[in-house]
Amino acid sequence: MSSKPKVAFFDFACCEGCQLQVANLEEEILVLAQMVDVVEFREVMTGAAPAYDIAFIEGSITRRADENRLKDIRNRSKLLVAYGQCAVSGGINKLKNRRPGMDEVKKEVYGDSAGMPHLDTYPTKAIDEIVAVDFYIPGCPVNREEFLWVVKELLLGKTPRLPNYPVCVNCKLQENACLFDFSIICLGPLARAGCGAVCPANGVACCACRGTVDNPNKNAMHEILLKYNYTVEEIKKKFDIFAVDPEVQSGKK
Amino acid sequence: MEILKISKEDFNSFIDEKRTASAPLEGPGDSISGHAEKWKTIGVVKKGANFVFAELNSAAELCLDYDVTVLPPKKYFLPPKETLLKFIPKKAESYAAVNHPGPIALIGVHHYDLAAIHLMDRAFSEGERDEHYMKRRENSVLIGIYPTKHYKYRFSSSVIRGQFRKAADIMLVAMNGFFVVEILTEKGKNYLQGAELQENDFSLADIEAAANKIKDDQKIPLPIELVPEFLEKNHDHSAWDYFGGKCFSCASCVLVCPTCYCFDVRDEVDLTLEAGKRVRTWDSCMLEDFALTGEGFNFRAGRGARFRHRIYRKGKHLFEKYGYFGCVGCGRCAGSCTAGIAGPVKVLKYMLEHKQ
Amino acid sequence: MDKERGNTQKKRNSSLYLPEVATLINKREMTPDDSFFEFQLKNRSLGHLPGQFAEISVPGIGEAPISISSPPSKSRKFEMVIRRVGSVTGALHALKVGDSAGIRGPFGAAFPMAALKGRNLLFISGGIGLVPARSAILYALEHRQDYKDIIILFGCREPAQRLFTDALAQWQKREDIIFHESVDRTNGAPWHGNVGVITTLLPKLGKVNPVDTYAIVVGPPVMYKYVIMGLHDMDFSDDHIILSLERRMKCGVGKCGHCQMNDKYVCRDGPVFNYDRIKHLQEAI
Repeated sequence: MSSKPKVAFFDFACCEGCQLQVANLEEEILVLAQMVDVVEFREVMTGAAPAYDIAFIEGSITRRADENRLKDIRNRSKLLVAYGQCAVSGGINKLKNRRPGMDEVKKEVYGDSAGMPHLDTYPTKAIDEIVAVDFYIPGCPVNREEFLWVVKELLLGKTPRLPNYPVCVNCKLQENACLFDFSIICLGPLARAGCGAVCPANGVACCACRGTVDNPNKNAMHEILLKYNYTVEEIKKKFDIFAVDPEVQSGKK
Repeated sequence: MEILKISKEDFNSFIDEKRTASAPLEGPGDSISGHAEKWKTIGVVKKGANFVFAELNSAAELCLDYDVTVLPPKKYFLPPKETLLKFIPKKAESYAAVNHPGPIALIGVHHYDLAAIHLMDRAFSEGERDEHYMKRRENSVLIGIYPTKHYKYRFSSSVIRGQFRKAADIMLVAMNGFFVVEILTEKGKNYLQGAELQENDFSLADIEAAANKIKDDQKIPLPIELVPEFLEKNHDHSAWDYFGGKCFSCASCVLVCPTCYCFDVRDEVDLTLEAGKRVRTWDSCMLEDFALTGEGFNFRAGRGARFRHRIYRKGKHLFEKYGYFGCVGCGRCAGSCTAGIAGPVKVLKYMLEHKQ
Repeated sequence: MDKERGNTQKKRNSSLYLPEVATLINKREMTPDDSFFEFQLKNRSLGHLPGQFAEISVPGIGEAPISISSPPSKSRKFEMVIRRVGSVTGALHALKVGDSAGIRGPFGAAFPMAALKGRNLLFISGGIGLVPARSAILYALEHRQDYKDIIILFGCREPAQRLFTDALAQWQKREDIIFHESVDRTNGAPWHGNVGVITTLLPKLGKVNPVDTYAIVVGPPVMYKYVIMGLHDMDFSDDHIILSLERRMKCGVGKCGHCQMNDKYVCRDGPVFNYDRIKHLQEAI
């Protein structure tokens, strides 16, 4: 990209925690602002532009109206990056898809007000269920370093390739104690690394918020579950938190 | 060279003096800048329930009575990530090598880790010499110690011989409030100048007994000399499917291995795109993409094949190439494997029990 | 037949990973994915032998192993054909004449051209395998009197993927060599030549003396098994089959482990191997 690329940030259904990660880049954000032309970013500025070199999309799609907005952004963007697990897989928002119907979901959350028109909702979709996605930055929230790395790769004209190895690698390099040594079930052996293993490093089991490696060994996990008296259902619930399906290869790399 | 002794208190105060002293300009510590540099002093310390090698802030942190460290000391010679070159992106004229390690002393390296360092020394010095590794080695002093604590996965006595003494500059034997100090190299002797060394009055038999007091529970189930041929004959053993089916390909076994040195090289740039570096990072033959080419051919796509390759490297390839069994029996792989399958003792036993 | 080695990488005291500068002096597109590159070193010749490779890099993007396609030369120039498959090769494709790249090498074992003197040569090249093979073919043609029959077989997926089309046309015309080529499929392109995988060219050769002929085989991984079967049918013994194998060659000096094939480092023990020396290696073919 010869002149400064036009970059925009958009959010859909999410907690906006991922754009906060970007906004909190501190010193780097000043450099970033010199390297790219940020033309839209609701959390930090006002303004709009007709077309983008790179559009970063945060959040999942939960309303029909959002589909059109997303398609419009796609049409005006050269590259579209889904960042944050809501955008990548549907994330936590997708938990509601496991309920029998949207009416029940609305009632549980909004009680008597569930019928209000602005509370219109449908089963959550990931960004790539609506439009083509060029690159993914998984995680809940995204890792700032990884976000910057993707930006740099794109600026250099490279194809960013996410780590295709599990969180165990991050843990070992930091010499963290393995949670399995304390009989804590951790999804680290299947989960895609790149987070720096922040959860296990602080004694919290990995929930695979970045999805799995390309080819997770489910059979190996089944054997471990037996060893620790866990059922497959229990482990699936852990994967459900971030809408990760270890049965299908994600291909999101 | 010579055998002396030092009290543990004197040893600790010597280490603390050394931490703040500068290394001599000749030999270890002779940095490119020509300025005397402080001895960076690394020792075994406690981290939670485990032990790790880390830079000492005080000799009081030193825990020489330990079972095993999470990572082996190779991390100081082949760091998990190190800069090989610096450059300005897209300007090939700007490539410049980065290589000026300061002097370090490693205290409390077990004999099996020393044997592993000796093997790494061979790998990085033979053929085209890797100056990044070798300079770090030259600028280091290794103070070994015979294990004083039992580790249930260790089987080093069945796989290493005396080669560890070729890597050590000094060997310590812990005895009744003292360390018996065996000085093995000139480098070790220079390092100890000024230490309160005393005449050794322990009998050699007592020292020998103390050095070997910890017995391993496990051992390789056949003489190591027979392992290469045994593996050669069992390339298609059912063990590879069996273990491949249980393996997460998480690479823990390889990352904690003191004789694994496979690496990747990649470029990193500043956000300004005005400066960059070529970095070397640890890699692992157990990971799915290890043998994947740019054109998309994966030459070791199966878990079983990768599992086999690791065992063959230890038991056959490195052994045949360097004359030392490629595994030093530290047991770290067995201890760190979530699936509980990585230990060579377990693998070879399974192969013997399930003959085809 | 012992393999040969060229000057190994220029001795570098500071780091064996430190590249030299090579300037791009000529470049042209050969197929939509493959381009021809001619580089020039500052003050030495590369000193390579046919079949060797070098690590080419673009700072900030990375380094990739690339076969050298020109024959040995005393000049400071050397040639390569680079297929765009990833970030590094993509960045190399973006270079313009006058730009520079980093180079380390040459690396690896070469085709044993000296030892093959006085023999018949049968070159079998599939697709981009023609790139390293060309180095040996041009060497043999430069030293035509040193060899008896020279047979060149080339195959690729479709006409649009033919490399060095000028050279192919010349070889077709030359009286002192035998040349056949084929495409796996025409894919709609005008094509009057053979259609079929490369092994379908072998029967066209008629009687080849397997004792006095050495086959030099370079192609994609899937090709070797079938070509070796075809050569066995022609009574070639394994020591008369010479292969150049592809692997992920990262460091070029037998250390990083990526190219390992059983106990062999393809970057250092190969990429050229005599088939009889590697046929027992389960990870080879």
